[in-house]
Amino acid sequence: MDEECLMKVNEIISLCNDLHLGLLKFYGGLNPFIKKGIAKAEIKELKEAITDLKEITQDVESRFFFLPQMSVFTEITKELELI
Amino acid sequence: MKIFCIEGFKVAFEKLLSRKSYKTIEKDIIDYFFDKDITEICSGTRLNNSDDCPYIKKRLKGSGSFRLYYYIIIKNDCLCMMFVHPKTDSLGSLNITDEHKANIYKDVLESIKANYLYFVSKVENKIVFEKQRTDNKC
Repeated sequence: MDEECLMKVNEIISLCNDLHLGLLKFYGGLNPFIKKGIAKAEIKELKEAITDLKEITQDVESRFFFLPQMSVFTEITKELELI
Repeated sequence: MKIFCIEGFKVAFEKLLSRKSYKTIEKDIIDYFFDKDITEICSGTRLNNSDDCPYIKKRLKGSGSFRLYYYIIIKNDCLCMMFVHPKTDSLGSLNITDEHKANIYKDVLESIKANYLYFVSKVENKIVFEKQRTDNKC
C-alpha cells in the first residue's frame, strides 16, 4: 500500500476516533432515558454499535500501522510463509 | 479442511466453556468452521499482509459475541485456531493488545515447527482436541 493510501486510512482512523468520542458524549446524555427504562433495547444497540466502532477502528490501526511496524511480527510472517 | 489449534486456544476455549454465560461458544465455533470450504472462512480482519497464509480476526456472530484469531495455510487446506475471547460479561474484553496479537502469532510459528498442535474435530456436536500425530500435520 502506498503512502497516499496509508494517509487516507489514517484520516479514516482519526475520523472514527472523533466520531467515537462524540457518540460516547451523546450516550452519556441518554442517562435520564436509561434510568426511566425508555427505549431500552435501542439504547443497548447504540452502545454496542459505539463499542463496535471503537473495536473496528483499533483493528484497522493495528493492521495498517502498529503490527507492520513490529519487526517480530513481520519476521514471523516471513518464516510462516516458508513452512 | 483440517483444523488445528495451539495450546493457548484450547486453554481459553475450555475456560470459557466451563462458564454458563459462554456456553454457546462450542456451537458457534462448530457452526462457523466445521464442514466448510476454506474459502468460506477467509472473511474477517486480516492482520498480516498475506494472501496465501492469512492471520484473521473474526467476530463470530457479530457484535457481542466471541472474537476468534486464526491462521490459515491455504495451500495445505488447514487452519490453526490461536485464541478466543468474548466481548461481553465477566471474561469479556473489547480487544486484545498488539503485543498479544504478535505473541499468539509467535506461538503458532513455534508450535508448527515443534509439531506441537492439537487436531480439532467434531464428535456428536462436541469439539474434541487430540494431540497432533506425525501423519496428520498442518
